[in-house]
Amino acid sequence: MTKMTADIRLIKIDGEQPVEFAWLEAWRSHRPVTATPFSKPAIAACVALSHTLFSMPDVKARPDLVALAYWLRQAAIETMEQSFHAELPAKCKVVPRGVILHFPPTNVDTVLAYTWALTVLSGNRAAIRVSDRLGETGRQLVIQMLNVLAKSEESIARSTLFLHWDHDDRLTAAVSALADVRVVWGGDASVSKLRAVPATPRCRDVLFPDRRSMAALSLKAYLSLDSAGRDQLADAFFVDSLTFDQMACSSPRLLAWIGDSNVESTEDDFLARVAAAATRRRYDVPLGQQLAKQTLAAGALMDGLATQWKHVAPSVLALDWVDVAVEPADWVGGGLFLQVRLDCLAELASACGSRVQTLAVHGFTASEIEELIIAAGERSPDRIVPFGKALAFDRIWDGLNLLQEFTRLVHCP
Amino acid sequence: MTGVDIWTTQFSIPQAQKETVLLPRLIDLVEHHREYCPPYARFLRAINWRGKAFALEDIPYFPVGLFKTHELRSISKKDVFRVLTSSGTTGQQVSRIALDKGAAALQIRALSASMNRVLGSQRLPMLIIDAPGVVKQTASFSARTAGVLGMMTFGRFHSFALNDDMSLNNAEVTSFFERFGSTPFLIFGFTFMVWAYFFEQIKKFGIDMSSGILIHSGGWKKLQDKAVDNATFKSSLRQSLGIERIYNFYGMVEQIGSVFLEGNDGYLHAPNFSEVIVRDPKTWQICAAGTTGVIQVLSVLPRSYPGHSLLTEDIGYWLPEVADAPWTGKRLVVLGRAPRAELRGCSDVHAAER
Repeated sequence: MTKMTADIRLIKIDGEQPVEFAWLEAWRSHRPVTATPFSKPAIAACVALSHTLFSMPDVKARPDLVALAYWLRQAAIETMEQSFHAELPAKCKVVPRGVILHFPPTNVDTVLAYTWALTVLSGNRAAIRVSDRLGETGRQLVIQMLNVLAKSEESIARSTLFLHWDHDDRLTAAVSALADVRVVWGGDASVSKLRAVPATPRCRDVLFPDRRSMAALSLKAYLSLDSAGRDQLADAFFVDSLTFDQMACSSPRLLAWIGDSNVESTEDDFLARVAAAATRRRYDVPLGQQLAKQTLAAGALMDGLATQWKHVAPSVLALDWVDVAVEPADWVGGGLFLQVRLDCLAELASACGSRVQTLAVHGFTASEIEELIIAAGERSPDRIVPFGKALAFDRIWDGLNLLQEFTRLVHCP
Repeated sequence: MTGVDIWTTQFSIPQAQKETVLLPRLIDLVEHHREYCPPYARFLRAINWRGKAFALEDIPYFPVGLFKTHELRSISKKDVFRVLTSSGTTGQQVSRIALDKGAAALQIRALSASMNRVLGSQRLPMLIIDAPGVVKQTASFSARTAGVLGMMTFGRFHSFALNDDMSLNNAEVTSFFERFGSTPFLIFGFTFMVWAYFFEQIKKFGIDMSSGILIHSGGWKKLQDKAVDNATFKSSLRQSLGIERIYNFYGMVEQIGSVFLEGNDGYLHAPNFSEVIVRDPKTWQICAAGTTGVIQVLSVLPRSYPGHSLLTEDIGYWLPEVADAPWTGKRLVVLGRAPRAELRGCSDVHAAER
């Protein structure tokens, strides 16, 4: 067991003791009779986790945990339950799929809690692979989840397993045999590799490969804001982009200014306010990342991908990006913003490769957004959200309704 | 242009004079590379370089890491005479530095001019703290190999002190000291290897090495775990082996001529054709004396590739020149390599765990 996970009660699988798999198989086949979507014990466990998180002493300084705690509130879950039932086709009952095996990402620790909640809320059991590289947030989160589970009703307490095994396709295949759904987050290469590991024929794979995100800001709308409004918007943009060092799939990299008046001074005004938000929130870019960012940016200038750079602050380095359709070869985050200027939002369609996940917007009408979606078509972003909501996890993610992915429809007469 | 000869005795030009000597030469080099290296020209255009610099800090610079991702040279492909590569741990990209014949010759001249200051012009019997295998692998020309080969030109009667498993080769070492122990001799090795594989093994034998000159390089990172800094290193070797003349140096393959050599004052100094600036990584403004930042190195020598002004990945600080001291110029302390960015991106989730 690794140091990182030493104080977490998890099941370490090394493949040397067949009893482990017998035990896991027994766990798998023990189907709780109460396993229906939005069961009372499942809701209670989520709400208990919400309370636990809110009562953590330093939670205020942790926007990612605050967001999770809000998302797990009783009222929020009730709203989700209503939507879930409203979205069901006529004459259909819904049942869980069984065991959902999770391979959470290592860059955004809170994802494992969100997908766990969706798993138990949809009436399933969760087997979660805990990485060696689990961050401090993730470690605390798993500990809190275990505390909550220990106090939950037995059906829920037994519903969740935290597992760890070394990367070995044979072990992954053996654990995959448990799964009715595999949920895999990772880079393209690792998602493909995992996908090649066999599971049962009925198992579904829900895959979250590499994505990238961007933001679009209407010049006119920005100029119409007063100073406080601009600060608020800049702060929202800071939260979107730098909460996870600009390394989350949903963190904007490209910043598109839409409209044609007075661009440069407006950009500078906004970036200065983003820098001020970073200072206010005591954001710090580690030296190694700072140098990597500098190297990436200078390389882009040499390649002619950008025509100018602006060092606004340690956490804000802006490049005037030449071609909205071109991505940098590498990404290091830490506050590097690729700025482009476009006449209308629909022009952003050419920036939408198959990998664009989130577009954070401010100042556009519903019809402008619709024009973009029509122009981008199958390459449309999965989510278009207001500034400040880029990281807000939802049951609809990467174009999938996860509650539907985790359940099965029973067509009734 | 001032009439000062940068090839005069190294580490001898006073700081103020040196800055006026280097500035016009560096501006010329910027223009030279602008003409012959298109990526560099694009870089200059993007940063609004107008051909004017009022101080060395105004000379454009870029991160040394770009030599790993970009082919940056100011000579045509057919004129490439040698490509130097940097060290890099497994799996990392390495820097590729293109030299033409002139640049290769200049590199040797620059190194020897700097070493001359501590070694004199005689080639001394030389004990290399490494295994003979280091210069035998021809397939991969590592920085360690390049370093040893480069330094071997300053010695003769080369002996290798270690076996391939890094144990001390007692017979070889004993015979070296029997033969040359009472005449001036040169010891060269990488700092960590000198300490761990040589000094710690040989100190118990009580050999008198007071006629020796030790030159070492390679950084203190591995020795930090053993709580060994430069002062401890020197005093330990002096006490146990009697070596008084110990010189550390700092340099990188990406910049010809920037062999910063430790003077008698215990600080690193830039040779006449090089200079150092320390920058604050938060603002990229220059740091005042004594303030830790990222080291930028400048040299008037690189003409075959745009390596005349580079932001390194090393951190350190500088102290002002001491008036009338035998070693002129700023005094530099290198604290080590900036920690590598640990990026937890979606893209490396599983792959990087392996």
